[in-house]
Amino acid sequence: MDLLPLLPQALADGILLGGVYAIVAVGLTMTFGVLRIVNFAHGDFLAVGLYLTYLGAALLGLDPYLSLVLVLPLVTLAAAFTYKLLVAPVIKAPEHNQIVVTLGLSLILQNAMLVFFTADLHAIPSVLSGQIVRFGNVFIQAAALIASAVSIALCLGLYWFLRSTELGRLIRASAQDRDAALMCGVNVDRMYLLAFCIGVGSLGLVAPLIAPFNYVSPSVGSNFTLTAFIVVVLGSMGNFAGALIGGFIIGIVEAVGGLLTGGSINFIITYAIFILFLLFKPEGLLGGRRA
Amino acid sequence: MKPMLLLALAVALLAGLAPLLSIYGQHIFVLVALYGSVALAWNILGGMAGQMSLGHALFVGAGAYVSTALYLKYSVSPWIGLVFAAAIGGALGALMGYTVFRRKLSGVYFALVTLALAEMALHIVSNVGFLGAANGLSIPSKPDFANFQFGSKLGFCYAALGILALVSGVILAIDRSRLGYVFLAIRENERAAAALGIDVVQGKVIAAAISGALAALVGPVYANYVLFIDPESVLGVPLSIDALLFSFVGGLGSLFGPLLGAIVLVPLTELLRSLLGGKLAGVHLIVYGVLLILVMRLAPQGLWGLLTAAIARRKK
Amino acid sequence: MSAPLLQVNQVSRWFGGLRAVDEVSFDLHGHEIVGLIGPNGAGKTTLFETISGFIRPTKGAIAFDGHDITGQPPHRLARLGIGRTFQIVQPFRDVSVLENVIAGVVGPNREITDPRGTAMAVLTRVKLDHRSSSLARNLSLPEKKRLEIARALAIRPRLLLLDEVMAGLTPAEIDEIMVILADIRREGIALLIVEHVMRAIMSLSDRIVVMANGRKIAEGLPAQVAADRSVIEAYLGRRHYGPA
Repeated sequence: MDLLPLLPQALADGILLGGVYAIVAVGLTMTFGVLRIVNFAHGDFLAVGLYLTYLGAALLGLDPYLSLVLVLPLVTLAAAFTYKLLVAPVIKAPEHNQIVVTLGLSLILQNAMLVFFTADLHAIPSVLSGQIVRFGNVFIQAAALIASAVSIALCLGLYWFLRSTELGRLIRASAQDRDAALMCGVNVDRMYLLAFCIGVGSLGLVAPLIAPFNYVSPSVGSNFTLTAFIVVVLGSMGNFAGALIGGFIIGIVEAVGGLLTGGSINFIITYAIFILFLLFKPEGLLGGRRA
Repeated sequence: MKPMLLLALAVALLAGLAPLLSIYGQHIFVLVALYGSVALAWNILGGMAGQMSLGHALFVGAGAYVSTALYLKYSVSPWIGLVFAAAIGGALGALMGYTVFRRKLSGVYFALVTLALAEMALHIVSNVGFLGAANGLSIPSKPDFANFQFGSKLGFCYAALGILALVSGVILAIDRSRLGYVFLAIRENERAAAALGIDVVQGKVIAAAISGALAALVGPVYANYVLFIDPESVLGVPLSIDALLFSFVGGLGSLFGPLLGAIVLVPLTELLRSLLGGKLAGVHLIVYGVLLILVMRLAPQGLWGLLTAAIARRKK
Repeated sequence: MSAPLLQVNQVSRWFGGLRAVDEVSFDLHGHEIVGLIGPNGAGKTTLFETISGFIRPTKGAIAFDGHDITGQPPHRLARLGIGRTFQIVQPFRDVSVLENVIAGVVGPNREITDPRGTAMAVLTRVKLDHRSSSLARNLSLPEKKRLEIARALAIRPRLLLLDEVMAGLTPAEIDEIMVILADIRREGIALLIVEHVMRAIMSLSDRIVVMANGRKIAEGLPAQVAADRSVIEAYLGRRHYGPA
């Protein structure tokens, strides 16, 4: 089969794509996996970050790696606002409240960006744009490599944070048993706010990192949202290592699937994997913890 | 007065109204009736049985494609196509319901699965040449009753009204029957429902099947009205969101709130689109988003709830 | 003596290493009221959950009216004639009291000619008929408890499992419930009651079963059980037990 020599490249592309999925899903692992908050606007915060990065480049001439310093706090601020205004009031309400409210937010964010920036695709110039690293016959974008490395670091960092720090323990306690934590004097609401800001704010880190090799458009976020949920479920909910593994698997499946079948069949495979997992192994790849 | 009688009266009134409308008014009439039907169908699963679907476009699209493909490739009349549409919609709903609900997957997972299924369908159809792939299918204009292409918009008004009447009738029938209580119990408290002898999984599957079958009926009517379908228009996320949106804004807990939502929002959308059109496309979606949040936070019972509360206050 | 209506046979339920219920056996006959008592954590509610089908026993068997019902789902048991209330009341909050009970009437999927009338009759028996059109969420706690009983009665059970139905009630409200329970018994419905209100359960029950740490530690007439050394120990601890 003459597709075989193309396989290593597809695998490499898949690993890097997976890195992007993983890093987007890491934040969702925090908000959905740990806190059980349903946020359908997750991907749209990434789009917001990308547009901020774009503005940094267009208005201030900043390279994404520099504007990161601005974008990260701005997105985190947006996350804080979102939590206070929209999420906190419905946190104890039935699940579908959160779904509907964040769906509304997603509509607002996506279309506000559409109105402001139009549907035109924009590329964001960076010192690393187009820089390719070569391993034998495989060509990898340098910026993508960096993003993947950061995604692994972020996963490990958040895992360590939740496991080994006092704050992390407080967050986990608040998520596991709200009332018990309250009785122990934990400011549960503040813990949730903190965790939500970490989870969504992380997208302010992701956006500048992927800007050098991703076009920005209003709908770029929604493509990521569903995939991020799939990765989180695959990665056993709240398990950062799982999100990492899940992200890479989805990325590889999509890239290799795309190579083998052409067209948009790759997405079909992803959705099929998702549905099959939910039906037969809802506790995800790393099992144990019930979904 | 018996609800079925009221329904018949309302349908008669609307049937009398249709010929009096302008051409544009009739166009709005058709859209309201069709979108209203999808929303009402969605509400059977979402509002009555409490299972929120984010992928109802799957059923509408399935109905549209089945009927259109049968007509274009095998010259099957869309009147028969309607029956096939309902059958496939019901089968999809039952299958989806059976596989998902048996695993006792809660709200969010069900919503995600429906979203994934609809997206899957969209991508599959976009790659199947037989179904027109991403370019869609065009229906040649051959006005003839047998082709489900009525010479005038008025004919489609009646067709759409017919679907609306059917869906409304089914909803009323459910409400009066044991099934209505089954849905109520499932929606309110599944454990308590089981303790009362209610098979919760079976109830949810039935809700999904009925909801899917009725939503699918809209597909063929839409297809023959617009004479063109493509994956984006009948399988896309916007349609799924519309179904959910109209139900929420209109009133999730009521039987006909979704129709009220369509009556208010469809003309509003058309207005916004014509006023702001190309330059500010997407503004109506911002309005949708704001409405969803406002309704959820301030008026969870929707417009219907606000109306009934206002009437109750008047009576005092 | 007629065959037992309910036979609990060496039922165990383990959660990992924890033996929540450990080889419990007892019988219950039609028209009987059996009280199930024991300190908190004794496994009473877990046992209830296995009998009503919400939890599968790890070991053992349960038979109802001679048929094995072990592991059957709750809705099937309800249709067979086992009704239950929940420790934390679970009314359908956003609909009326009457609708709550109608749901119970039609739930088991039998032919009912007049669901509304049947439901009103049940409400009358628990003295909630005057509140039939109120929303369930607006009821007071004792009213919610009575609604819970009414809804369980609506399915026409032959055995009714009551899980701490008197918790949180004042003495006067408890007396009201006791009147209702006596009325239910008169109708021929067997009752298995978990309760902490001692005076109520001791006076209502024909027999008492005592559980502690997942095991059955005593069974017999109320007076017998009240004097049983191991029962007193279980509740008060070894040190408190006076000279033999």
